[in-house]
Amino acid sequence: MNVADIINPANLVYKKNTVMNEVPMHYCPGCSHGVVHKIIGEIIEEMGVQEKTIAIAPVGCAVFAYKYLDVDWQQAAHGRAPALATAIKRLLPDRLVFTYQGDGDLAAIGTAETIHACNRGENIAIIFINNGIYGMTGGQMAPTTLAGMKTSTTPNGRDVPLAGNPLNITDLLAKLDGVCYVTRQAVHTVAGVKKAKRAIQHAFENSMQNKGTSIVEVVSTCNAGWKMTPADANDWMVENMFPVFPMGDLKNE
Amino acid sequence: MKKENKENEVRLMKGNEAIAHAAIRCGCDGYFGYPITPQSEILETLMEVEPWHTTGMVVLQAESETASINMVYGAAGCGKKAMTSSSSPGVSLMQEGISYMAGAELPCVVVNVMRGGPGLGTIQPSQADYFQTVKGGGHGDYKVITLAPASVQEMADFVGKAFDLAFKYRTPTFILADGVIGQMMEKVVLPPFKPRWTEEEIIAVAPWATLGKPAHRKPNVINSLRLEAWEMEELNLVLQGRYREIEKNEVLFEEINCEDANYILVAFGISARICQKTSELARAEGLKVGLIRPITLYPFPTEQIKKRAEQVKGMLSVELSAGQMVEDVRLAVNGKIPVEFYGRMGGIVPTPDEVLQALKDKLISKN
Amino acid sequence: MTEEIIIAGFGGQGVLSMGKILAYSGLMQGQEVSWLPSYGPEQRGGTANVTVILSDEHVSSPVLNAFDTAIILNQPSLERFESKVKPGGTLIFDGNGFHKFPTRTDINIYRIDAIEYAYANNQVKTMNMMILGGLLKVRPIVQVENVLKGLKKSLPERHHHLLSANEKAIHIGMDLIKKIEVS
Repeated sequence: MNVADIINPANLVYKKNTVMNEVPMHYCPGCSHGVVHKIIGEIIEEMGVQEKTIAIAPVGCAVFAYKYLDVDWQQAAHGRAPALATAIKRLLPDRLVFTYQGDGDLAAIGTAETIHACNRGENIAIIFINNGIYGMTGGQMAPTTLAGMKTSTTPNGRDVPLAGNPLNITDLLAKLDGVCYVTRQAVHTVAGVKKAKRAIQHAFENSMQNKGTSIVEVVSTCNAGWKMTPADANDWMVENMFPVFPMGDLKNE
Repeated sequence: MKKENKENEVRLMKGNEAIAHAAIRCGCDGYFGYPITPQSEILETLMEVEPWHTTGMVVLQAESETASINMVYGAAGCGKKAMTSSSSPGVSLMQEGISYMAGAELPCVVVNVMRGGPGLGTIQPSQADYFQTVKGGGHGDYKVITLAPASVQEMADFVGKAFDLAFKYRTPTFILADGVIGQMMEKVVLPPFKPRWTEEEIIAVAPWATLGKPAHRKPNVINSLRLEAWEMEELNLVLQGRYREIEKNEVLFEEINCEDANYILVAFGISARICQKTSELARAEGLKVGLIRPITLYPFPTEQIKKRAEQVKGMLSVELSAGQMVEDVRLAVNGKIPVEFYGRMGGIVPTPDEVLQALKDKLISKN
Repeated sequence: MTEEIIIAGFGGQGVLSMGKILAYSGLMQGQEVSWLPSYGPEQRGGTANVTVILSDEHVSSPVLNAFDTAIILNQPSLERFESKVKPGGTLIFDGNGFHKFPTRTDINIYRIDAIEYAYANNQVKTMNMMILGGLLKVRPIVQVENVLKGLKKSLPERHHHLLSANEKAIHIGMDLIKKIEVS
């Protein structure tokens, strides 16, 4: 029996989507980014929009997102992805335009670009990975770091009088008239992955149909930054992140 | 919607208005900007003319200069002719984006209608962003082609020219004007209408553009990140090679009354207009004074200035600054003759007679 | 022929638009022109001025140190620009609110009390055209028909019904202006 005998269509239970490139990922094992990339690849393939997709990569752990999905990419300066997406979508209104951003990119340095793109109702999708920490630069405090949470710049835990409150930017964005769809998801379980996939697909469809801005927040783990095993990180997220960033749709128009 | 009328009509308009009309006419795809004096008429004129009804050009008032330049980045990444405009403090804010565009090899046009600084400064005219523009501005080893208009006609003519250069060399290109050229009205004949590029034309001119990846090609990625040192050096070598080509091919300057001159004024933009009158006043007194007007500030007309240094007794660089371009004039002359500087700062514009007096005090009286 | 003019007064007196109309008039008669305003918050009530050059030749510098003609509409502008009029040149002033008057004897000085007339006759909107009329009476640098053409060109169409009132104002200004002898 060889590989071809085992892997035949009758036995196929899972197939890697064709939009993902054959390159090893730099993400840490257990990180949510890889799962979200996979979902996006599947959706682009299933929607048949590979030739119409222009994606914007951020600065942060996902800075190399352009290596993993076989579509046209622009890599943005830190926080500026929604500004790039604004111009791209306005000049190419029949394209799928989405940004892929972390919490530092979207909710700290890029807050103005995020809020104003949403407020103008740009017909883009924003995929927002919120893991409450700066993974790329070595685990510093993010705007979404929880009160009391330890990071390399809050070694004794986030002290709110000193460092401010965790910023629930998705709640803010849901209040803007230009925004048509806001949802909060997680990919720590199979059911969660399936729901997150449906959410991102809905956001992409909104972009193609020019319905306004869609935001899919994926509450995520950073087990390396949180200094936990992947399994513990999942549990910690459910226990500590979900009460502050509750799952579900905030807006769907 | 205001109608865009006859070709070749002589009109009277402000430099800022000329920039806006020229942008529409040269097939610009997108303008993204944030209001700041003394250049707000550019965005205002575009919003009044509403080119999205005619050429389809996108015009958007962004939330900041930071957003503006990054919108330009996004548009340029799609091979579109994109531009922004601002004045000094706003252009400072754009420097991050300009450095990224230089690194990502993206063409665009940035108009800076300079005002006095540093800081919030004054809304009055200045040329004190010379260093910022021609010596870098943002971080890293890069240059931007810099055109310095000295009339409303050149404001109109340089928009299309700047786009041509930007795409030829895949580099951000500046139109470095000042508050006087932006605010004054003169006669102008607007350039003829050129249609915007179709997507097929973009693919031919800019095969790197992110328009969506067809099955037959690899993805296009607009990116200035090179984490491997050797890759980063490779990109730098490509850019430097391009800058040498620009320096070889694209130098532009104008000479007035230089053939028999004993002294030469070097000035750009509004200063060059003032110096032209200074030259007239000097010649009325029997003093043979000429003018070299660099039209491209980068690349700088080093060779021509060097050549004229063989002939004259001295040069005076005249600028609305504390003395910036004078350093490039001195480098060109390389100690052969005295090079002096005269300038006013903070928004003060010197008059032609004031410049003549400075020329006499600093050079003529010392010979 | 080259005519180098400065118009200076308070913001809101129509200084910049008077200059614009002059520039358009020059354009209409095929001249080279430049119009250089002081700009910014000054327009909202401080002093405003505009340099207008009409010439049969190329205009080199739009920035000038001396003027053939100065039109002065407030006291601070008189103090600033009287000395900048070329010998033999022309100074026209509206004396409304002045406590010091022009003193030079080597230039031609005219007074036009257009502000007072305009307020008394409820014609404030065309006050600057009266002053322009006064200028054209003593310095006929552009023809009245070209002024009207220039006005038509520079005014939005919705204001074209005001053209005849503006033309009348020019003639009123021609009557109002009078020469002043400084002793």
